[in-house]
Amino acid sequence: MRVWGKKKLSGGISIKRKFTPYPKIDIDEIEESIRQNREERLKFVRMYAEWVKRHSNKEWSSQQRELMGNPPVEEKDM
Amino acid sequence: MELEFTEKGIVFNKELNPLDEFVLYFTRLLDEQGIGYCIVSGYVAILFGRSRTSEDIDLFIERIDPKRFKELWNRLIRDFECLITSDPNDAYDTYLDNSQTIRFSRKGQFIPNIEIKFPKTSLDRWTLENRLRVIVNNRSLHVSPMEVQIPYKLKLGSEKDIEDAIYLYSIFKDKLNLEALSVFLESLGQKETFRRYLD
Repeated sequence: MRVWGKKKLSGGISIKRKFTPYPKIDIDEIEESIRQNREERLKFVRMYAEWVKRHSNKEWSSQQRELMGNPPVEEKDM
Repeated sequence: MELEFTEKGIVFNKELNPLDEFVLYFTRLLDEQGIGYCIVSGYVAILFGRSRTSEDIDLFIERIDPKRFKELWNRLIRDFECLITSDPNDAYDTYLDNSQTIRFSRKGQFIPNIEIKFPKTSLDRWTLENRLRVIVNNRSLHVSPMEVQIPYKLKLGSEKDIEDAIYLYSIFKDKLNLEALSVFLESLGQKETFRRYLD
């Protein structure tokens, strides 16, 4: 494996990746896409809130805890 | 931070967190199905050390036909469930083919989940075409090039997004294709924002 610039980041070698030709960007299209993504995101947040309401504290908080990188705790610790 | 920039992509090791494991497992299934994808969300910053978590991860998959999607669906539902619909035809016809997203989480869970969509804009397609390979702990995944990720995050403009942009720029500035970065800052109207926060 050829290695370019294997060193700590404080001493960088500039690597120019070769990209395909740059796209013609329609900013209105991008903004519409962002708007749609935001709407979908808010829909997800509402969906998740409904899911939390329907499930026990143990269930939603266990998932939250696992997501944040802590292992599940024994019930006696709760 | 020790990163290797090789012909195969960015190579590094880290202590994997639950979100990393979740993403690596899901993307491995996409690879097994031969489906091109690109992660585009805040997870890119988290992968490279940003100290926050996320309930969801956004990615594009290449536009595939219903038959291939059904094959992907059948593989995914062994370990995951779709939070939006239980019908793969609905998932494809109503959502993906209409530029809407579907979400998959591990069975019985809600978070974290992966939001998948087809590329919609020319920028989406370019991002997928020019995705960046990352090999973390000998496991491979593909993310958006930083030259797009940074300007796009500035365009999104929330506090969290700007912080992600600043973080990624700080980590990668010596390695960026500055011409590409400039092109995307210009096209997304973010040159001034870049000067304000990152320059």
